[in-house]
Amino acid sequence: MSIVKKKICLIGDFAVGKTSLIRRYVEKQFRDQYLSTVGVKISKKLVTLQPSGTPSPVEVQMMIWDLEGRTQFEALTSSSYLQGAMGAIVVGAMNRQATLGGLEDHIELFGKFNPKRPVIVALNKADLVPPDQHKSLRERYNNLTYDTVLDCQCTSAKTGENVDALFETLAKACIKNAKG
Amino acid sequence: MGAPESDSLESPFERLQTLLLEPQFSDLRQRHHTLDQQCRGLEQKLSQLAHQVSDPTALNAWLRPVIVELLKMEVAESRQDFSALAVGLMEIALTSKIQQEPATMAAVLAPIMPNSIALSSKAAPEAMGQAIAPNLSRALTAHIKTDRDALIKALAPAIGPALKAQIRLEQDAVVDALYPVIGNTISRYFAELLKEINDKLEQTLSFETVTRKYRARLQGISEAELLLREATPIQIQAVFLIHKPSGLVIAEAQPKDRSPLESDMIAGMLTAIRSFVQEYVAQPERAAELREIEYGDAQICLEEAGYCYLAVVVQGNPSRAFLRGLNGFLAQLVNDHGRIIQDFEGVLADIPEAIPQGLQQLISSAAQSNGKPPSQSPGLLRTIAGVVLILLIGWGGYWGFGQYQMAQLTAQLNQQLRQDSALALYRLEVEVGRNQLLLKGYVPSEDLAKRAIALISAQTSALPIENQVVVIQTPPPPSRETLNPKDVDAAVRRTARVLNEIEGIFLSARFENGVVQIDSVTRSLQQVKIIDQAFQDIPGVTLVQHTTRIQ
Repeated sequence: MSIVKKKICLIGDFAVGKTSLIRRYVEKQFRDQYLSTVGVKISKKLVTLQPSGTPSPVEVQMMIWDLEGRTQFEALTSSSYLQGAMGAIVVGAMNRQATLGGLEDHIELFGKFNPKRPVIVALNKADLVPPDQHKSLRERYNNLTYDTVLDCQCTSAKTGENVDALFETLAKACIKNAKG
Repeated sequence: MGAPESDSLESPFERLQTLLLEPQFSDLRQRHHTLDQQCRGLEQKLSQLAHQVSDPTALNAWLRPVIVELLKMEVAESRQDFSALAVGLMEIALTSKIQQEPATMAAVLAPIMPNSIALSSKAAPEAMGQAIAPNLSRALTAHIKTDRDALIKALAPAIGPALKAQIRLEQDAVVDALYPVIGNTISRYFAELLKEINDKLEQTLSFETVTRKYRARLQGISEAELLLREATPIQIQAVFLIHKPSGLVIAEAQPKDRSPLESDMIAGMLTAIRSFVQEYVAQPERAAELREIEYGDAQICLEEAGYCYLAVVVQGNPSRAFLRGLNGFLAQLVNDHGRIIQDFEGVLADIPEAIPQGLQQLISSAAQSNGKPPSQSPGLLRTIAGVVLILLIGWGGYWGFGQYQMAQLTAQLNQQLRQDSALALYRLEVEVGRNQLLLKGYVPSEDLAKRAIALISAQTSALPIENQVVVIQTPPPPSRETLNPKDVDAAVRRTARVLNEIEGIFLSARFENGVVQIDSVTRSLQQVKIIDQAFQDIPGVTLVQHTTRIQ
């Protein structure tokens, strides 16, 4: 089974839980302590996936780039780390409306560097918001007018809710995207 | 009865008729007359018309107003029909005219062509572009054939900015395009540099050089290459070929006897660092790149191409030659597999086996070249060379001292010859020959030659003297009556010039009527005597008047 390598970026405002999502996915751990990411942190995750329409499973090595959090008020130009990414997870915190407002800026920024590459929106910190609000929020951000946005998922790095699915959906999309 | 009745009846009838119809008849007659006149007028006009039809000029003048009026009416009433008709006619007329007289038509249309093209370009630029595009390359080719210089002049100012723009748009593509050329240029430069080093080494004689030459000969490589190898005791820990945009490892090679480095993480972070440096440190107008990262006694050398870069983890201090080698290696790699590297999407199966093999060879060749030769040189060779060197130094010193002594001796002997009253006039010189002294020169008599040999022999007995003095047989001196005063004057001047060459003598001599007047500065009374004797010996000189000052 040959290995396919994919660079995936996590972008979003600061303190929305990007690093926590990666730690949950890669290390199966969660820490309450907040440590701001400076610049970029790279993690590696090797998974075996079987995207729909492929005859055999594919071993995917995801190089996950955890980019320093930014807000829409800051300059968004210094993002050459996004170059060459084959997919992105744009993260917002469900309990902070301002971070959800910046989702579109991040999607557009990623699209500027990597047009046609798939994007998934993660509404993180779902454990801090009552479950009855999940559906409406998800529907709202699922209907963003971007062709590249595949899905919007409510996630929780703390509980692990939808975290694996988030990364693996994107990885499968990356494989399909590369083939297409 | 009938006839008179009828006559009587007709007469009244006729009279009645006349009475009733006469005015109408009269009117009719009048009209008939008028009609006749009109017919005649019409006949005249018809004949005129017939004449006008047969005369084109007259017909043209006659029909023009009518045709104009008709055309106006037609245009006003059915514009579309008329337009279609006119277009058809124009097309036919123009086609026919162009076929018949192409040059005339070209001249007619020429004034409006520039404006027409300008307007079309403005009104429908895309259509204009499409119309011109198919012939653009042909036009350029033809123009290059006819006037290459003009095209070069026209394009030259735009090439610089165009290149800059292209670099801004697609820097990676430009780099990849130029990389093989630049790499080869550097390689050629380096080859010349090696040659230069070799030449210099050839000219330098030292013990180290001799042993290096010996080692290089044994290994079958050039001396410069050996020098470079000795100067680069390095170990390659890993070689990574990294996709520049994504930071993914395209291929890697690491020595098998070491624990492998985490290539993907290193490649990712290196790419991030490169991006950081480019974004925050390097000046935007200068395409500067991170070349190396040092840590402890190791470093990561980065060699960059368009869509990929080579990261080589090296322990030790790599030489320039090594870095040039990397450059050449990467240039070859890009040349061979540029398209695959550019389109790399993380699928390792797409990477040809030749790439990782090439990286592995890089490590192997570097390991071989690092085999620094043993520093201990053969002891016997060292001893022999030492002895030879001492002997050379001793012999050199002895030879130098001998040369110095001989130089001193010849200077002394030459000085003696110049100070001898009889010999000073002649060019005699002592030189050092092969284990002997050579006495060379020309004298007018055998006696003078013997005098010179005797003088030299008296001064030195260390070396044999070879007499190479040539005796020139001079004609017998002319009698005083036949002596030419000019010849005597010339002899006086020549003698004065020769005497002035003797150290300590400064004199001037004037010959007039057989008398030589001398004004001199000398060092000794003996020199005064030499001067007097020399001038008295000149045939034709009757008296020498000498004023001197001894210093």
